[in-house]
Amino acid sequence: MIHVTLAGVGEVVTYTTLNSPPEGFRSPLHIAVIELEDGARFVCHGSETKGLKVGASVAIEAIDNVYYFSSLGALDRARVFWRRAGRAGDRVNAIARSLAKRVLKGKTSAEG
Amino acid sequence: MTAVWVAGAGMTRIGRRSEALPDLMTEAAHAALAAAAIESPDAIVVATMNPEEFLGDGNFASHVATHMGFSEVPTLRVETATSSGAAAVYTGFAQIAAGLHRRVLVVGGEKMTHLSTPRVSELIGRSIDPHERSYGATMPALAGLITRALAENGVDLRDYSQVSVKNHANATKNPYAHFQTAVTLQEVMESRIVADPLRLLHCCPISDGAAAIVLTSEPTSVRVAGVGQGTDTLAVRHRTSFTSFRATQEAAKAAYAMAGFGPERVDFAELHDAFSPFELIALEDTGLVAPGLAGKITRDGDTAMGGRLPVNPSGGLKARGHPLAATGIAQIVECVWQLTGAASGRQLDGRVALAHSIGGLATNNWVTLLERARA
Repeated sequence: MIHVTLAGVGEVVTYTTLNSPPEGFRSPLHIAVIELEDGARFVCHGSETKGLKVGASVAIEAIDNVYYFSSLGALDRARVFWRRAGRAGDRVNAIARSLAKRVLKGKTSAEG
Repeated sequence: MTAVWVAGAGMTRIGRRSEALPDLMTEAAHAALAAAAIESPDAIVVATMNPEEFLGDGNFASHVATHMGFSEVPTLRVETATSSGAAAVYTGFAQIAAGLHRRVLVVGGEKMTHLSTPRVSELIGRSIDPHERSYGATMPALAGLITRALAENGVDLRDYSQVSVKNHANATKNPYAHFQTAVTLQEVMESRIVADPLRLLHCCPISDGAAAIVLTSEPTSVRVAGVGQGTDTLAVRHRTSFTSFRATQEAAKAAYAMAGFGPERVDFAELHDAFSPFELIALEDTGLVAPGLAGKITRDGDTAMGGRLPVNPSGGLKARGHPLAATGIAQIVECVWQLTGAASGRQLDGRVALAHSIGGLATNNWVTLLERARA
């Protein structure tokens, strides 16, 4: 089972993209610092920084104890999708999560 | 507290060097001792950031002292990551100020170019918070995060690109510099992206080299007027500001308090521009420039050689090069040469110099103030 915690919504403090990341990370590597409403700050990975702005609201979630940010719209859409799917959507969730993991996760198995 | 003076300064040419590190450090030490007209010091302070992993050698203080022919002289090694050289100067300063020694040789160096760039990046990156490192954060990555925050605060790509142009121009007059070639603003702004928005020509090179000074309790023409240390959290994400470094601000405050004067007395500075936006941050954190104006005065040429406040006459880390633990001492060597009229081809007219060194991603910083004695 993949443990998923929805941390919620946060604000972009700053971000960057590495074109030559360290060994074990996929290129390009998108990194952002996200601040939650209570002031807690997280370093996060993301799938894209194009169009990202400092101060913008983004979704933040943990997959296998690694934090990821994504545009808020996408999460909103996902929430609606999950709510509609209801209990029967468990299997769909698992597929969605593993897809999200494949897309978002930057580390290779060597880091594992 | 005993007053502390600089009796001599020396360094190797910085760059890709074939010699072993003990050879480079011996060359720098002998140059400083010769300038001081001292045959043997009472004590030696050695700075190297990571010879264990860069070279596979430990016990480096004794290693270097023995190589220099000073195995009988009390020697110790000091380390505060990339500011180790400045920390060694502080240690030597403290030994004399406390009356423990009268003549202290401070020598620092690093040898890195024999390793691949990813390997060097990984070794330097070990000074980053382990959690942030687990997300792929390297020094350029953290510098990219800071540069992004600066850009949001109105600092333009042109502003910090101009820092690189200026420092390369300065290095063309410095025979000790790694890069003695000029770069254009366009070349800098169009160089490849390393950590967006930071580009290759905003980053210092990987260099080999060594630098040394001799500190004494006997008056010379240059006094160490003040030394200050400032610190901050290892984790960058927990800091209150991404556009200034608390560690520099505190180091500057402590150095000015010891010297008994403020930034208005400083005539020129050597600032830690490992990434060119850091020069702009340092200008404001040390109080040399009012907040928000560092970009403007750089654009206006105030920090160029002919300007009101020349910064990095040596070429800085960007162009003189950054052999880690040599750098904090090499900055002071440049200041001493400038203050004593020994900076041929790039001589400034100044009485008070400031040297600023960053350890890690600004977790352990130093500011040193040097003053030429009135004749």
